[in-house]
Amino acid sequence: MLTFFKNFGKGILYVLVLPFLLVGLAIYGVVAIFIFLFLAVKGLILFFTGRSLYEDLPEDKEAKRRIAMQNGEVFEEKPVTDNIAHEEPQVSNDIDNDPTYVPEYLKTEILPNDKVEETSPEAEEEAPIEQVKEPEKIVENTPKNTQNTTILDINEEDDDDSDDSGVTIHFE
Amino acid sequence: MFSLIALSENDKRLIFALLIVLILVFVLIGYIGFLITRVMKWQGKKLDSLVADPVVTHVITTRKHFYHYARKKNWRLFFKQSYIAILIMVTGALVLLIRDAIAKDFTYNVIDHQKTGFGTLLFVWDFSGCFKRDGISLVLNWPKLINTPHFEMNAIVSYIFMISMIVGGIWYLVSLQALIARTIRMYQLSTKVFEKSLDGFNQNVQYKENPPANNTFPEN
Repeated sequence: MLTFFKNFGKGILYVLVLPFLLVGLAIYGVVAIFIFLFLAVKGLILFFTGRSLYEDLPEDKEAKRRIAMQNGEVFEEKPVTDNIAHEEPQVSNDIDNDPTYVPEYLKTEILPNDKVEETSPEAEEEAPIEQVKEPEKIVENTPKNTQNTTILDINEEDDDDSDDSGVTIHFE
Repeated sequence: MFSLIALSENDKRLIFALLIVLILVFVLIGYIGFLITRVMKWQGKKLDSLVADPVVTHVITTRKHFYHYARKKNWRLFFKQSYIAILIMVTGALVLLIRDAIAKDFTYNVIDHQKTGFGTLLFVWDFSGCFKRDGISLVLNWPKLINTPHFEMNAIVSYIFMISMIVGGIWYLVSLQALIARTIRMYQLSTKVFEKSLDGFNQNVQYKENPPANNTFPEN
């Protein structure tokens, strides 16, 4: 019963407000037609420039990028499509099965005047690999006049203040 | 001093019946209005899905930015929903215009009920002789039926025009209603999403529950 009277009250309210609502609706409808015409012209211009009226706004692109980052995906922005046919080089993305694939860090530029020493695979195998010498052997191989010298020795030897170029430091 | 209006039993019953009808009409209008507001709330929810991503990911952080962004999305969706309706109406108008240009007759009546109008498909009554005044009393007569639905070949352009206008007009009005519903929702969201409220916030309670990193509590 209460709902009945509520609806009765709402009905009276709607009847009283109806003329204003209709006027507002008519004004909004006219404004909407002008907005529609503006968007229609804009859509036509964008169509002939290769774009779309419904393309993502900058906020949409940034939101998609952030969502992709959150999901651990890579966000690839769709390229702007135009009516001009472009010839793109065919690049193989299959690294595992592409025999001609060379990583970027291994690519070197070879100039025309550079001579490339051609070595046979056998020669490369026989070439000895330099071994890292142990620290004791390094000490043994150092020149005798610098052996067993300390910083004190250096200071004693170098009393002449004018000559400061001969200071050397050794690690034992 | 006072002239009392004498009402017969029939008059009283008639007045009572009219009051009941009036109340029922208002209740019906109230239900129709309730239905319209429910549909508009449902239509307005569509805006949430349009603007959710930038708001949730904090791309949009101010009310003004949200308002400009939501308005663009709202008008784009209105265009997408209503361009077919506009095309239908424009097509109907073009058909009528071409017919008038070919026949060189711009007096073609599209609502006529006799030969060339859409009224040929409808029941038409003549209400001119309904109310007659006889002295003080008012005489009511039933309206006279002057047309029953029949098909006229000359009126085929009127049929195309009126049907396209009715269909396109209703479609456009529904799209317009959705636009208004989303605009209302836009205003609601622009205040609700970016609203800062300190209701229920007590700084001291908050501080006790979540002590600072150095674990020292200030002593007053």
